[in-house]
Amino acid sequence: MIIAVGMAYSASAQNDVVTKLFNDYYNNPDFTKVSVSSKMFELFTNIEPGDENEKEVLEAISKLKGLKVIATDSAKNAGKLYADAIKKISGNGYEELMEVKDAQENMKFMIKEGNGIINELVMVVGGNKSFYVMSLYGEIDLKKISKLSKSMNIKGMERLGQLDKREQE
Amino acid sequence: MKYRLYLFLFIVFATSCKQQSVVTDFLEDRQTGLQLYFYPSTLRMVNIEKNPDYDAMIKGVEQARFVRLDSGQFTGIEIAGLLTDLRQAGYEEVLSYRAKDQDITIMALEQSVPTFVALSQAGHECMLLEMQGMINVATIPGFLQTFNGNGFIDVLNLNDKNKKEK
Repeated sequence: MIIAVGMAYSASAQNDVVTKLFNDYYNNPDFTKVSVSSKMFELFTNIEPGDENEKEVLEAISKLKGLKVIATDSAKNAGKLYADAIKKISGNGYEELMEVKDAQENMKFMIKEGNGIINELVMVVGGNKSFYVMSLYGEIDLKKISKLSKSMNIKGMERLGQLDKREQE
Repeated sequence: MKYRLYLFLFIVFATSCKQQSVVTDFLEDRQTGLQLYFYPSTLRMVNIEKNPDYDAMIKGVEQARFVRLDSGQFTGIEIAGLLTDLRQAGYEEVLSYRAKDQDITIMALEQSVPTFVALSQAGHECMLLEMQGMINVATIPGFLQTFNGNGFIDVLNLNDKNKKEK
């Protein structure tokens, strides 16, 4: 019983910083907000896979518990929003996985692990006017993330493909 | 004993009827625009170039109904009322998309064949999709890679096309 309560608490605390970040921008009309619940991922387990490749993708999806995205392409202070988000997330149990910087935008991937399992993947992107934060939580297999990102077809998530390339290098 | 069995069957029948009619009840007595009904055969028929990825994607869809709601006929309060009715019928919100110019909500009812109701509002335009069955998400990457708009019948704009041809 105590273990169950402890697990429930850690699961809810896990997403606190990012949830707060999402709540900060929730009422801002300039932001697009996307939220996918665990029920959606649960329902995907009803799908009969056609081949091994589909089976692999569906297995990875069924272990997810949720997805949240906030995004804007019209931020006047995208650089500051990016820096603030990184500051809020870093140091709250999140470990930096990868950082990409180019002339157009900065991108950082952070993960939260527990018992050797990745429980959450956070992607923060900041450009000239663009700012995205995506949080994918549940049991995450990084090797399958690239396939998942294509399956979900949500703006900004195609960048996750870079994780796969990096793993191969 | 028999009485109990009949009562049980009646309750199951009444409950299932009620669950299936939430959208139908909502649309009753309201003027709608385009209404399209799709069955496995019609879903496959729109795929004129026989894209195998599309066929694999829609394999689990048993029935779908697309409704374009006439602007002015449905207020925000009425749409909120529909979402409340769906929740009361056991539907759960599985996806929400909120943007400056568009809101999308997808509700799902888990049962032997899941039912999804998707509601899209963009300005005065409101569209509703009710679908029984599942789209195979694992096949979406393959479908997107091979997707060619010309390989499908544009069923949503068939009327417009016919008018132009006339």
